[in-house]
Formats: sequence, structure tokens, C-alpha cells
Amino acid sequence: MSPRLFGWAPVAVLGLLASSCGGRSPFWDAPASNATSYGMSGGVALVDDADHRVVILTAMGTEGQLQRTNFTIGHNVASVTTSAAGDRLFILTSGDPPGTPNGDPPALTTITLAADLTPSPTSYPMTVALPNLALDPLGDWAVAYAGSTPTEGFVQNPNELVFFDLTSKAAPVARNFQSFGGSPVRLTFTPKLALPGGAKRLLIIETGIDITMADLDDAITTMPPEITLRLSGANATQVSPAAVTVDSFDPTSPADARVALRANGDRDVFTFTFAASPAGSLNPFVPVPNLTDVGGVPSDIAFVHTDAGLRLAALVPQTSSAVLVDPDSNATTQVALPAGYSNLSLVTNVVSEMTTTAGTDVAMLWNANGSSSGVALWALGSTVGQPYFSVEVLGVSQAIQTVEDVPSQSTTAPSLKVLEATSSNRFFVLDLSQRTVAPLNTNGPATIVIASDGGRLWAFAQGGTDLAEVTIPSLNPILLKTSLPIANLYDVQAVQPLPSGTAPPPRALIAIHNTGAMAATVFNATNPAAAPPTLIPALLLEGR
Amino acid sequence: MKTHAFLAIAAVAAWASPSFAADPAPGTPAPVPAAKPTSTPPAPLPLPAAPAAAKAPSAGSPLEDSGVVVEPAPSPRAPAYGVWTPAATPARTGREDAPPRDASMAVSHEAPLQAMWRVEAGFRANFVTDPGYNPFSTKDYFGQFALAASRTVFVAGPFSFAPGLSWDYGRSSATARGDGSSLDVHRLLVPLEGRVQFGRWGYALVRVAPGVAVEDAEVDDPASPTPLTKSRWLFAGDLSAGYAFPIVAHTGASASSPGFWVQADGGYGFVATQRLELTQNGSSATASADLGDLALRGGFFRISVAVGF
Repeated sequence: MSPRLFGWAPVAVLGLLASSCGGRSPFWDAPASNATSYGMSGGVALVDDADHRVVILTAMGTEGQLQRTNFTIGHNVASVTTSAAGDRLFILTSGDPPGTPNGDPPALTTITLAADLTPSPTSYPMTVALPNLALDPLGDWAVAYAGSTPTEGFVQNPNELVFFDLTSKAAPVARNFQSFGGSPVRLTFTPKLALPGGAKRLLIIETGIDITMADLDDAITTMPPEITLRLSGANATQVSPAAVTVDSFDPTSPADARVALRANGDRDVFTFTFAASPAGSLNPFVPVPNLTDVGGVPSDIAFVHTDAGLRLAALVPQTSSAVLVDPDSNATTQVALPAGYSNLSLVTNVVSEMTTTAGTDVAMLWNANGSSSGVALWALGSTVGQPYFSVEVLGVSQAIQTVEDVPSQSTTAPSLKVLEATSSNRFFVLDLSQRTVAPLNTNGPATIVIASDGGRLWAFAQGGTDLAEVTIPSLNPILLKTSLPIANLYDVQAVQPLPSGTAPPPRALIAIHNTGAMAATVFNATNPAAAPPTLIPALLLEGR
Repeated sequence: MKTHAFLAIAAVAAWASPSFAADPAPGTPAPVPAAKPTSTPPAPLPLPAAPAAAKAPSAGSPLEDSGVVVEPAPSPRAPAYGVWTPAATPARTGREDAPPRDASMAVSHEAPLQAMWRVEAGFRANFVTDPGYNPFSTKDYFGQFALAASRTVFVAGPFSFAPGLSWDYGRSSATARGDGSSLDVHRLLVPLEGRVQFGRWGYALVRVAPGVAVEDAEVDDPASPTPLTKSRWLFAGDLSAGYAFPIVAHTGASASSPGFWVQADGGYGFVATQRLELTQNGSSATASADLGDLALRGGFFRISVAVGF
């Protein structure tokens, strides 16, 4: 062997060293605690953007075990949301920047939980990255849009919307909507409306200066041209939409095909009825607007049934009143309220005994600007004669910020609501059927989680280790602790270990901890004190 | 690990460069006169002193076979560095009839690189591209300290065979998704080494080394009361080839005088695949992290210094 060969040894060694410089996938360097969690009906989704995956945690019975199922998602998560029923997760991804070699395209990925809680993915590739997603409450549609603060791409068209037909795996369709200077800010999916030309669903698009109505049923096929309604106030001032409400009591009645709108800082409410279009129009209907001054800036509006017929109820906190607007004649009726309530929701099916006239509604009023009249019930069956007798104030002495329904444990309408006070370590459980308001005090700010089976609610200190179960209907608090700070808490259905139907589905309480590579503490939700919880660390520490 | 790699490069460079200097280009006069330069291996730097070796009989060496008589330089040049001293060339005395004291003596003197006990220590760089290694290192590289001992048990001309025992140990640590992680690996191998000697230039080697390895993987997750660990014995093996070069050979003054070597070999290292399901205390199935399969295998090179006696 010639010693010359020795000279090649350093070269070979350096070559081998150079070959060892290959690094690992970048996700190993990204802390897993950056992942975000989302509750579903039968599990918890951990969206791990760094690893381009979502991990579905499914509780196995009541034994404190979690099953982890990984699904690959696109790059750069833009938004994540769940369906109203909690059985479907939507992950909108922006993909890699243009020019990235082998870059990932924008996409919408959905994870659907079957009845046995088996998750399955569906992916809808997109051609344009959009950061926001609006979901149809009926589960048929999803629409991606740029929104008011688009962040993706060098040049964007904020009036381009991408429609996803969630009932199929059809490719999404991008549509460009006409603009008069505005861009979509908020999207509303209507139920079926009895419109001229047939019952249809509409997509109502609010921009900063107008609203647009589009035929949702034909969104990915032969959508006719959209109709844009430019808005102006009483003095021809431009107004900005704040919220839309739809009269959807009877989808077969043309009388209930109405839309109303309130505007930011404007005293007027806009109501729209639908008339038949002139012959030759591409759209068989045309909205007919009406403008009504309600005497102040309304904070909430809703269509209600009163003893005088269908009305648009508008709450005007600055005058501590509500105004009932006849959508046909624009006639108004002012009803004085004990406080300037900001929000209302219909509770007719729960407190039907308050309805003095058949077919009329009862509304719950809340979020008052005063501290002595937190919640009131407003019976709309006596608005003509002595409307001031129609309001009943319940014993909540604090202003209420949010109202959440407690699902009914039976087939009856849910009568319990959880009221969270604006600023205090206290929340209330309101029983509408009994007119009772039970206060529950906490030692600090608490986050409330309501079990979807209506059997209990949970209060926990975000970032703390204290939590408590409050059983329903006894409202008996059971104090618990975790060993790690709680980031989020989810009461979910667990996988049934027994043959289906032999026992109620087990439920698990999953406390998510942003500690290490994410961790979870799993309780038996229906009997959390019966056995010690199970701590499962390193949820996202998995190799591939 | 970077430090190890740098040292490895430095060591190899320092070792290899003099070999160029000692190897004159064709047509360049050798520093030491040679009777037949065209058929004689390039003369190394002269030994500072080799009187005993000069008196020793020579039998079977390539020089002798070719009938070449090499005389020591009349005024030996001191080596540039004390460490780099090429193997002594047994000088011919013309006493062909002097019998060896015994066989091993003959080997020691005439082929002093063949039959010996040998202990080596060095550094082994493994190149692991398996994704299962990613939680434990930011690079596809795993360094180990290497220790081995062998004994020549068979000699036939320039060929010899030396079995032995080796132990390699290395540790790699990194962070995995924010958690501290480490991997300790011990290899216990039985190297079976075949050698071909090239006179005073040392010998080439081919090594097959079956054995076992134990991998200790650990992840320290702050949410876990105890580290998540797994330890397992696995089948392991190496296949490599390389070269051993004498830096200080037997002087010939004594049969038991040590020789020093620098050695480099490279090849493929294998450890059986295992599933890295780390658990708390190695027993709880609840707290676990499935890091996937780990196959700690791939090319490697090793640089060692050895002493033979």
C-alpha cells in the first residue's frame, strides 16, 4: 500500500463528517407547548402546527387512558374551529409561501368523529390562502374569506370567497364578489327562506359599508349574481353593519322570509323583505329595504312573535328600553325596561307559562349597564296594552356578561343557564323553570365549562391547579386539584367499552397542561373523586 | 460532539500529512541512499539509533526478498516531531545464518508488526440517518469512545489474524420538542481482525465484529414525575476496513518493547432496530412516549492510537 493513499484519509473523513451535518426535522426544535387544544364532542384535538399534524385524544372508557390518533395537516395553520355539535374539526392552513420547493398548498382539513368516536380526515386543497373560515350552523357549508385583517400573500383580493360543500368531497369553488369599496367582514348563513322563486338558503356577507346576499344553494354550481345593498343612514351617511338577524320561524312562510340589520353607531335598524324580481332578472327575488329609527343605537335585535304579530325587537340600552318594530309598516312600540339591557335571547320553550297569548315569545334580557338588574324575562304576549307589566326581573344583582345554555339531560327544553358576571369571582346558575338564580362563588377568576350531556359544569382557574365539579341539578361542588397548571378543560364523551346501549356512554374530563411536550390529566367525569386521575405527559412527543 | 469531530479531523490531518512528506515524488532523490531505488520502498526518515536492529537477522522481509541492502544513513536526521518516528528498518548485516531465538522473536524482529498483544483507544464517529435518532441529536452523527484489545493468534507470511474484545461508549443529548433527551449506547463487540502487513509501513486490516449493544434512551418531560426511559440489549455488529501505521515501532532492543500505532478504519455499524416506547420507570403504560423505531446503524469511521507488545 502506498503511503500516498494515506493522504486521502483526511478527505474521506471530512466527507463523512460533512455527510453527518444533515439535521433533523425542524419540528423537533419547536416546543410542543406551542400547540393549541380544541374540545370536540368525543375528544380533544391538539393542533401541532410545527409538526404539521393534529392529534386527536380520545378517552377510553373511564380508566383514564387516552388514545392518540395523528392526522397530517397542511402547513401554517390560519384558523381552527369546531362545528356547533363538536363532532367536526376544521383546520384552515395557508400552505408554504410561493416559491417554496415542494411547498405545501393552502388547504382545509376536517376531522370528523363518527358515532363510535373514530376520527376520519377529509382534505380540501385550495388555490388561494385565506385566513378566516365561516361555518354554516347547519353543517352544509364552510366559506373561507380574507376578513378585515388579511395577512397572507403579497397581493390579495379580499372579496374572493372559497366555498366548501361539506356534504361531499367536491373541490372547493372560489368566487369573486362585487365590491363597492368594502370587503367581507362577517358571514351569516340563513336557514331555508320562502323566497319568490322557491325556498332557498342565502349567504349574507357584511362588509364595512354594505351587505351582499348570495344564493347559497347553488354556491358551487350555478350561483346567480349576488345582490349588494349599499347602506346609508337617515342623513345619507354611510353606515357600517354591526349584526344581522334572520326571521326563520317558518321556512315555508313568505312572511317569515325577512332579514334585519343594525349598524354601528346608528339609530336605525334595517329590515328587508323579498319581492319577486322583474321578468328577465337572473335572481328571482329582490330585497326590499326598510329603515326605522328606534330612538337610540340598538345593541341587539331579534325577530319575535308578539300579541300584535311579528316584530323586530331592538334593545336600546341608552334609553333603557326595547323597541318593537313592525317590519311591514315600520310602526314602533317602545317598551320601558328596568335597566339598559344589551342582549336578548328567546327562551319561549322553557318558560311557556309566561306566554299570556298563544304563539307569543318570551325573551331573556341580560348584560345590563346597571348592576341591580342583571337578568330579566320579557313576555311578549302583552306588548299592546300594558307592556311594562311584561318584564320580570330575576334576582341577579350583578351585570351579566355571558349567558350559556346548559343542555337538557332529557328531552325537555333546557331550562338552566349559566350566567357569568362581568367582574367578580362569582357565577350564577339560572333555572328558568323555577325562576331561581343560584350564585356560586370562586376564590379567583374562573372559567366555566359545561358538559355537553348537561350533567355537570366545571369551574377552573386558568393557569392554576384548582378545579371543581358542580353537579346538576344539585349544584354540589366537588373540589379537585391537578398537579400541573391547567390550560384548558374538556368534558367529553369517552369510547364505550361495553356494547352500545348497555350503559350510558362514559364521559371523561381531560385537563390539558401546556407543560413539557403537552400533558393531560384524565378524570372520570361522572365520578371524579372515585379514583385518582391519570396524568399522561409528553402527549406530543412522538417520532415518525 | 462538535469538539470530538474537530479533534478527529485534527488528529487525522496531523497523522496523514507527514506521510506525504515521507513519500518522495518519483524522480526525487530519496533522503536515504538506496542500492536500487526503483525497486525499494521509499526510505523513511532514518532512525535516531538502531544498532541492535542492524545486527538482527533479516528473513522474509520484502527488502530481503528483493536482495536489497539498506544501510543506515551516516548522519541520521532528527525527526521533525518526536511522535512521528517511522518503523525501524532492520538493517542487513549479511549474517544470514543467525537463527532466530524463537518464532515469536522472528516475528518481532523480522515482521514486528504481526504477532502481538495490542490495546487501542480512540474515537468512533457514527453517521446515523435514521429518523428515530432525531429526538436525541440535532445532527446525524453519534460519537463514541472506543477501546479494544486483541491478540495475534495466527501468522502466515504477511497475513495474520487477531481476535479481541472491544467496548464503545457514547452519549448524545439534545432537546426534543422542548424536553431534554439523551441516548447512551454501549457496544460490546468481538472484533475478528485480519491483517496484511506492508513491512515497516504497517498493515491493512479488515474487521468483522459481532456483539451486543445496550441503548439507554431517556426523555425528561417536566410533566412527568420521573423521566421517561427505555433500556434494551440488542444485537450489534461492525464491518470495517482500515490501516494501522506505526509511529513508534519495536526498536528491536527487546522483544517486549512496545510499539505505538495510529490506526484508522471505517465501515458500517449495525444495531438491531427497537421500538422506543419510553415509559415512566420503565413499567407504566399510562405515561409513555412512542418515539418510533430507532435503528442506530450507518457508516462510521474510527481513529485510534494503539500500543502493541
